[in-house]
Amino acid sequence: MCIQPVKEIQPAVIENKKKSKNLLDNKKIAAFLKSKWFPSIFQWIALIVFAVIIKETLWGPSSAHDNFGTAATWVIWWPLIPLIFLLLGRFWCGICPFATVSDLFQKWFGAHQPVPRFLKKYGIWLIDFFFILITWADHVYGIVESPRGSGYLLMIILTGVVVAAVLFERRTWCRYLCFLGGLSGNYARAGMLQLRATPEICKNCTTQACFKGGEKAPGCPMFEFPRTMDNMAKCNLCGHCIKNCSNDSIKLEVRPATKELWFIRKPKLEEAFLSVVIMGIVFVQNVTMLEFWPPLLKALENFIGTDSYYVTFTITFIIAMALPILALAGTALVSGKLAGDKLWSSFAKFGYAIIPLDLAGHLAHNLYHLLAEGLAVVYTAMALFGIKVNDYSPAILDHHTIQILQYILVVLGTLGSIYTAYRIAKSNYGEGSTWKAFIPYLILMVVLGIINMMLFYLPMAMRM
Amino acid sequence: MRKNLSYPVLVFLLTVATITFVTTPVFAVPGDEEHKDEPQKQTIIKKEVEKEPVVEVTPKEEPLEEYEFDLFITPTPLIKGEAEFTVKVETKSGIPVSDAVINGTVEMSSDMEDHGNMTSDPVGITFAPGSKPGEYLAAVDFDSVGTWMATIEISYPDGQSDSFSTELDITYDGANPYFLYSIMVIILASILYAQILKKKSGKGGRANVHTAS
Repeated sequence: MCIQPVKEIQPAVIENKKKSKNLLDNKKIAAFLKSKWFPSIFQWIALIVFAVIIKETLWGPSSAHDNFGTAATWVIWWPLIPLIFLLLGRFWCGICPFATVSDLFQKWFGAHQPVPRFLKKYGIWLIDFFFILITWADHVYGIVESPRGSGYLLMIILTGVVVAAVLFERRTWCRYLCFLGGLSGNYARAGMLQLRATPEICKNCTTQACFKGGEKAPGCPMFEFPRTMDNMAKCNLCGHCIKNCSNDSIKLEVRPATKELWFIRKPKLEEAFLSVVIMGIVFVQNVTMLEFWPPLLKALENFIGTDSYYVTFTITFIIAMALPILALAGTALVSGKLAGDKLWSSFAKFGYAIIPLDLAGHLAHNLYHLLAEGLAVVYTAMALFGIKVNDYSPAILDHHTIQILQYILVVLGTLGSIYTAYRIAKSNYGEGSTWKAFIPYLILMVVLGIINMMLFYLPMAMRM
Repeated sequence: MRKNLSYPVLVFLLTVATITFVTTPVFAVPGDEEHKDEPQKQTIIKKEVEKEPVVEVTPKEEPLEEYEFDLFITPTPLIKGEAEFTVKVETKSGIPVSDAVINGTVEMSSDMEDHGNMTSDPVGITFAPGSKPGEYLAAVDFDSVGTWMATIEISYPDGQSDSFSTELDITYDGANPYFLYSIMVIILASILYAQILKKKSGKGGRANVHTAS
């Protein structure tokens, strides 16, 4: 009898099957996540703080330096967000005040209409567009430096949230329109927390309460079906599925950072595009806060022949966006030729490898604001209660220490991106083509890492 | 089978938003229209001390010193809240005067309607020497929008004195109310439309199960 060798299963389908520790095996954690306090207690705290921020940005001091709303948003929340995504996935989305407002308005007034098809199909492109638009508007109109500007932005987002909530089902805004949702989805994929169902338990389930909802909680607000969910891009760790599942199929596990990026089954061009756009945005954010920015702007004005900031910044912005996109496309072309893959296929697969460096660059940039201006939150909060402190230093750490931390982050991000690119190459191409596909991306990640290091080497201006 | 009302929904929202933004000056600040074409001005008052009548001076008598002063007020434009007054005093030949004594008062204008029928007693302000010679600073809190009257009195070291008054227009610097009205209109319109949709599709209808794309 001739025994045929078992066919090797495609590596792209297999994830690492090592058993991760299920946090829900801890009774206290499980009890808390299943209780009515989760995530409500965090949601209400976030909502109260958000209300204060709205009030302060719209009617508080018009100087960013003295405004608690601006300080809390851009000096504390924005720098901490990527760290939260890295450690806890999209947990912020689960407690986001916009989401809470969405749930409330939907409960009182919701029409629960189905999500339009064009949103399902093009939502991520809209997210990309909004993200670019808001970043551009911030620089041109000075949203971050202006409490009123920040307040208007929050109110515009709130309007979109409420309209989506009263008309459509679940958290349509969060899933298909929130620009931050797109960013958080990418970062959450590199995050260290994952929620999965146990297929063997789910196959006997007849209620599907995790998706449809049950007595204890509504169904998944992000339109995810835990049984087939294989990524953390959309899961906001709201705990509804944990509460509804009577079979204890849901697992909450800790995993190595970036692991999910190694085994993406259906890479999407628009998600890869967002990853590389974020890199461009990090470049723009860094360049415009450096001391050489005003002379650079002046040189550009002389070259173009106009002193209109709208024009000069827009040109800079387009160049900063285009450079990483073109760099990735060029790398994809070379890698594709070497490994026998198409340009856009390679672009889509390896675009995700930039996410660790995105995360590191984002963290490093905002680390400066957090550690060099963080105390501004304390002093502006004191001012809310009439305690005014003049001539204070907002710094938590000195500049040199912050710079070293930034370098460390960029190095870690670069290494993370390099390793992710290697694992993507390994899981998508045969043994003979892995290194051919990987080497061009190795060079790209090193170059991007060096550029980021250079940008953090130069002195940066304050936000407040 | 439930109708997909997504396109009528979007058309409706776009119509409401267009009407709202066209009919309300969304980003105009109240009162902006009056001063739209006027250039931004920083409040500067420069005044020369009136010359004493010419008197035949004998060789033994010294002429009186002549002074100039400038008043700067920030922020510009003046908004409700704290403002900083800066007075720079120097002789006509440009020498800063460090020993002047400057006091003043601010009070709401006599036109009560301008301040929502509120009145106030004059608030005294005392100038303290600044970091530069000849510079005097004072912080003033304008707690109401409207027209205020500021009166400044300067006593020079040689005993001469001067005073002047000026009107200050304190403007509102909070969120643009038209913008907020527009937000409210859009939200209310969408809530109203949602109730109509609910009635058409059946009250409290829960969404069918839709798998995400």
